[in-house]
Amino acid sequence: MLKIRNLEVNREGKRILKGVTLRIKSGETHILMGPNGSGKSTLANTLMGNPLYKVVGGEMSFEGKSLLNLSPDKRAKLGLFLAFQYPVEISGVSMASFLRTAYKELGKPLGFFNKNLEGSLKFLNIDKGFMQRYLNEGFSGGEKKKSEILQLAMFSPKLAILDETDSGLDVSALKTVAESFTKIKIKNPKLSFLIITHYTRILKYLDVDFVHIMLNGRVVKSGGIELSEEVEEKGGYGE
Amino acid sequence: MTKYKFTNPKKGEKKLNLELKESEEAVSVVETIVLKKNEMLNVDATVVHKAKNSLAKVLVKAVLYDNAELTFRGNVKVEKNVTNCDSNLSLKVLLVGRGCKVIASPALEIENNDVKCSHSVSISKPSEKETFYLMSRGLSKVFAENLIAQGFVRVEP
Amino acid sequence: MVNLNLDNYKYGFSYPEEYVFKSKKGLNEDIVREISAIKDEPLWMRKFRLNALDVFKSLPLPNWGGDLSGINFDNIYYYLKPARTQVKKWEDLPKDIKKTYDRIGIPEAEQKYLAGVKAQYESEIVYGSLLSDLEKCGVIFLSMDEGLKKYPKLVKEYLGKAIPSTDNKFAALNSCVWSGGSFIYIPKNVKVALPLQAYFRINAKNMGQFERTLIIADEGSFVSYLEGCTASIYSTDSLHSAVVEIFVKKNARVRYTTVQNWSKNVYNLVTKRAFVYQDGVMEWVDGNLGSKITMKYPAVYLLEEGAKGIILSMVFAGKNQHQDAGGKVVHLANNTSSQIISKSISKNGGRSSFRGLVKIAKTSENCKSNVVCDALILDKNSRSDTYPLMDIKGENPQISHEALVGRINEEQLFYLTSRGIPKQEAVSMLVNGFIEPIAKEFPMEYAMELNSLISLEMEGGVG
Repeated sequence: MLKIRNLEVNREGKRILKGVTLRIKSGETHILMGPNGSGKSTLANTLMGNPLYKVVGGEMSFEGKSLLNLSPDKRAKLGLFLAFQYPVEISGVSMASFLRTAYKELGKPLGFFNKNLEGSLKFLNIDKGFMQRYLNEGFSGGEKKKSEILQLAMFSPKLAILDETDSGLDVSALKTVAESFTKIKIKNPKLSFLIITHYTRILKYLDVDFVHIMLNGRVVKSGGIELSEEVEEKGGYGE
Repeated sequence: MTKYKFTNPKKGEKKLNLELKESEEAVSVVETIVLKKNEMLNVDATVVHKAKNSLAKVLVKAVLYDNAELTFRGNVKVEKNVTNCDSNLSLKVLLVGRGCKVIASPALEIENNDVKCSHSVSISKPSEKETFYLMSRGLSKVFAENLIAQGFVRVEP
Repeated sequence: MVNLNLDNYKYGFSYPEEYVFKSKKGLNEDIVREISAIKDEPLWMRKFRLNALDVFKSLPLPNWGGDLSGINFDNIYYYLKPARTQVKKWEDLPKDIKKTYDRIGIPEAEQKYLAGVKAQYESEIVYGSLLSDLEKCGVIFLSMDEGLKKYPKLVKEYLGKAIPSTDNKFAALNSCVWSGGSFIYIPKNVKVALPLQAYFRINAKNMGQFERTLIIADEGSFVSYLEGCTASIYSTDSLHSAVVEIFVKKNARVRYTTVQNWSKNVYNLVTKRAFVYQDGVMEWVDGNLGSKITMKYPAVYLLEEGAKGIILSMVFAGKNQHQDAGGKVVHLANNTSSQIISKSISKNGGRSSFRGLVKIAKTSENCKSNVVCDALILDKNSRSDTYPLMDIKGENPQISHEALVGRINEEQLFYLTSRGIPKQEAVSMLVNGFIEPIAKEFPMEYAMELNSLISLEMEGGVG
């Protein structure tokens, strides 16, 4: 479904991704690990079309369609979703009106919006009052993550890229987050995940197909769960 | 970041005339003023962005004692076609005396949209909370306010 | 835009509709006398007008603000103008105005009224009963002309006290040739539940060239007044100069909401001021969308302890527009507080300027004032200025002022587009979000129309 080949990306003139190759098939859950600065967030943002990042080499395609030069909203419409590490705050735009607008733009039937929203709020254990607040404004770290996960649940994308959604969470919060991913996956078995994380903890609560390690702008190792166990044992990524 | 200072053309006057003419120029100015009893001061700060990607941060901090008078005129201008500028002009006034007078007019004239320009002014006495805390430790009100003023002057934000 | 009631005769208001007239342009003593005579005004009002004429002639144009050099004072009808200042035929109405009407969803009948093609708009009985309820409480809500006739003492007591003719050239002009506007008196402790709308009183001719409004809210009372219309009002008159004086007595509260959307040939120069007494509250909610040049700085004078003033200003400056707006607060008593929030948007070469004044008199202690003015510039041809002035002399003031100018936040834009929302719509959402804190203070119908108008403007493309 997602094909990335030798992707080279610059940010403000500096080369960050130096040739990333990665493949994700429908329904698969991939984990991407690596030290700070290895390019994980860059990869996630580049896939989504963040204007800060410039592709200078290689290719990336989704379901056969090249992503290069496609605007972020068009990528979203293809089925990509990025849960940001630090979601931006947008004052004056309520959660409710934002969700409704995006829902509509993604081509989903408005008639089901309310039902879908109520259902998602319930299943993620989010208070209805959340909807009247301005988009991410004044949200605690945990609330911001909830906001991203709620959107994931409502927009039912084909590929969900989660940028350190588990960072800063204590064990019980982590469990809850992992549970929501699992629930969402059960509802939507074809959904693929690319989960970017520092910690191996989340792997305890999820069914993972592949683990990749990124170092210095490249994917240096790919394998199964045993790879993550290796990282844990070594206490780091040191090669 | 290049550091600039206000000049002192004549008694009772402080002036800053900043023109950013080179691309990527970044300037920071911090001016600390203490106006003693009955002292008067006119402060004039002009910042003009003439080159792209320029950055300017101007902070004026002033402590005013009894009957002091501060007049502050500021002007930040970003010319047309000068993109990606970041400019901030701030005035913070701490009134430690009585009978003080502050007149501030920080203007902004922005002719380009690719900018991040801001200005702020705050004028007040030392906060009740801070004063009370110090007084509860045995300091007289005057001593407390002076201490706060000293801290205000020393700290670079 | 809802519910226009223009059927004067049905509700027993008397207002001379047609006169035998000779259309005269320009301004001189004869014309002023004629105006006063035709309206059958008391002598003191005639003197008031004549005095103002002298003042008008003696005062210079302001040398700051918008470029007023295009006003030709001799080429204006100050009164006795032809009945139609709007178009004679529906087809003559400029296309972009029709477009906004359609966009806002104004029914055709109402559109025709606004265009002046239809002389009257069918009224609803409900307004008749609202008005009679108000009368029972002692509320006076009349056109200024009628107010002067029926309550001359009350008018004389207050008229010109907040804004004397000498205040500025346009206040003098208005004092000299004023016609129309509203006269409102709310008795002690009466709280008027529904907002009073200027459109009750206005017929086509009265639509605002030199309106004079006077609102007196007696102790403990409350009233909310709405003026204007989000739909663009097409006017061939190029100069609109209104004066609004408001007196908020002890413990009273007044909220005055304006949405101004004059067509883009109009010079809109307005003087608005409120005097607030002990523990009174004055709220100005000001939306400026139209006109070629607007100069308007709603002001609040806090005269007694505990008085409070709030000014919310929203400004949209598009192609060939200069909106010079803001607010003034003067603290003349202890323990008074004020807040000014201004949000402006400049697009397509438009220019918005914020002009603000916060003054704390030497004898006013413990006063608080907070000013926030944010400006969004949407393309590189547009411009935004901020000219605040703080004059602080009282003891223990707490003053804060913040201004931020910039473009649409890229990060926020990316966030919204990454959720499938196309760029143009995302920009619209961000712009609407930007003005939200002020837009939500407008009555719902206005707020919705405002949103549509903004979206329509955004469709013009984003630089």
